Amino acid sequence: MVVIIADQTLKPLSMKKSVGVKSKKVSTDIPNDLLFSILSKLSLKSLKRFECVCKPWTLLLKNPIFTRLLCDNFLHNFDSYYHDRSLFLSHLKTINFDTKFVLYSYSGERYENMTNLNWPNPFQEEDPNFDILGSGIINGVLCLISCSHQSIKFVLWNPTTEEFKVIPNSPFDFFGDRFEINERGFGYDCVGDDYKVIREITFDLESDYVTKIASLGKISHNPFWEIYSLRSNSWKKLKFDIHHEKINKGVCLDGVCHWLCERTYKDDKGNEIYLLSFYLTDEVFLITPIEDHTFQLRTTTKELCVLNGFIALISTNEDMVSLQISIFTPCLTLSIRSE
Amino acid sequence: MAEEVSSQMNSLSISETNPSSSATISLVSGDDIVFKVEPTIAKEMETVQSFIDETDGKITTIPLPNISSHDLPYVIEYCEKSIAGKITKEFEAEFVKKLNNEEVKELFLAANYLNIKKLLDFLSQVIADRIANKSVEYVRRYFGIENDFTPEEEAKLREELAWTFTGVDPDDEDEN
Repeated sequence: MVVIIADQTLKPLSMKKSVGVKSKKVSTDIPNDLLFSILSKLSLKSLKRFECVCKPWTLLLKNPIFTRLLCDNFLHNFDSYYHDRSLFLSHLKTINFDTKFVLYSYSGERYENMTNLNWPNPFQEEDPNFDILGSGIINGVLCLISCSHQSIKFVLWNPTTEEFKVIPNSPFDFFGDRFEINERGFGYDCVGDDYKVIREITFDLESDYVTKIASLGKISHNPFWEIYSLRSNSWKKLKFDIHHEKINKGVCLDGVCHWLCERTYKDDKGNEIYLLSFYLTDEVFLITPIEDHTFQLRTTTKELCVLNGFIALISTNEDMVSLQISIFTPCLTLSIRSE
Repeated sequence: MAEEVSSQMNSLSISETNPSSSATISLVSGDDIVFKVEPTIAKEMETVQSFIDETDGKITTIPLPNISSHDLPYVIEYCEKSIAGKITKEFEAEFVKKLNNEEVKELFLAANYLNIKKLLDFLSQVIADRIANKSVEYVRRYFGIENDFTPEEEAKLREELAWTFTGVDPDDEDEN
C-alpha cells in the first residue's frame, strides 16, 4: 500500500534529535520530535483545534513527516479499531421461490463467523423489505427501515438486549407514496444522550395530488429535512432549505451524519463533489468540498464508509484497476492509494 | 552519599533470571537514590545498556540525572512486565490509572531519555488520549508552549475552526 501525501512543498517543523543530559533538574518541556509522536495519535478534530495553540502547529498537517506518521498510525490502528466488532448485513435470500430479507451478523477476525439473526419482526407485516440505516450499529443499536407497501417504518433495535422501538410516524408519513423519503441517517447525540434519525423528504412532482395541494397553497413542494429524537419521541421539521443532488447512502460517526453529494453545473463545466455533514447535537449542516481529480472520471464508483474511526471514501476505477481511499474530516483530506 | 534502596518491585521480579549474569546494575536517580535491577531490566533501557556495553560491563552503577526516584520505579515495573511478556491492555490500564497528567509527562520524558521504545509509544498514546478533549489553553500549559498569535489572529483562527471546539472538557485547576 502506498501512502500519498499531497502537499510536500512546505518545510518540516524543526526536528530536534533526542534530548541530552542538561541539568539535574527534571525538565518537563517536551521537545518537538516527541510532540510529533503524541500529536500524530490524536483525532483530526483535536488536531485542527490545536492549530490554535501556536503558529508552528498550524503547519502540522502540511508537514509531510507529520502526515506520514498520521497515516502510519491510521493504518496501524486498523486491527485494534475493529477488535471485537461485528458487522450486520441484510441479504435478499430466496427460500422456496420466495424472496426474503434476512439479517446476518458477522464477527471474528476476518468476519468468518456468520450468524443468521432471529429477530422479533416489529414491522407488522410479513417478510418486510428492510434495510439497515446509516453505517450500521451505533452503541449496540441498529436502525432498520422497511419500505414496502407504500409505507415507511423506522425501527430501533438492540440485538443484544432484544429491545426494539418502533418510531412513530411523522405527520408527513400519512401522505404515503406522494412523498419520497430520500436521504437518511441515524446516529447518537452524546451531548443530549439521544438517538436521532434524520431524513430528507422530496415530493413526487408528477403526482396530481401534490400539484393540486401545492396550487391550493396548502403546502410548499420544496424538499425539506426532518429529524426524529428518541427522547422527545417525535419528528421535527428542520429549518434548513438545503437540497442536494445524487446523495449516496450516508454514514454516521461520532454524532455526525455524512452524505456524498454531487452538483452538476448547467453550463457543462462538469460537476463538483462534496461532503454534506449534519451535526446531530447542534443540528447544523456543514459542506466540505472534495478536491480530487479521480472523482471526475465517470467510471469511478464511490462509496462512503466508516474506516478505523474515520469517514472514508473508497473510489474504485475499473479501467485502471486502482483503489483510492480518502479519509475525511471537514477541511482536510488525506489520501491513501493502493495500486 | 547515595542512599541504598533495593528495587521496590522485587515482588514482581521474574524468577527465571539468567544465573550467569547475576551482577546487578545500580541505577542512580537524579535525586541520588539507588535502584538495584537485574541486568535483563537494564537491557530494556537502551541508554543504560549502551553505557554498560561501552565500558565492557565494568561499570555497573549508572547515573540517570534526568530521572527522579519517583518515576524510576514505574519504569522498572514496566520493563519487568515487558520481559515477562505480560504487557496486557489490563496491565497498561492499571499502570496509568494511578498517574496524573504531569506524572505521565515526566514518565514519557524518562522513557525517551532511557530509549525504551515500547513505553514511549504507549505513553504517547496515553498523553494523546488525555489531551484529546482538552482546551487550547490547557495544551499550551501542558507542553509549555507560548502563544505567538496576536489576539486578532487567534480570534480569526478560532472562528474558522469553530466546529472543532465542540465537546471540549472544561479545564480542571487541580490537574495542573
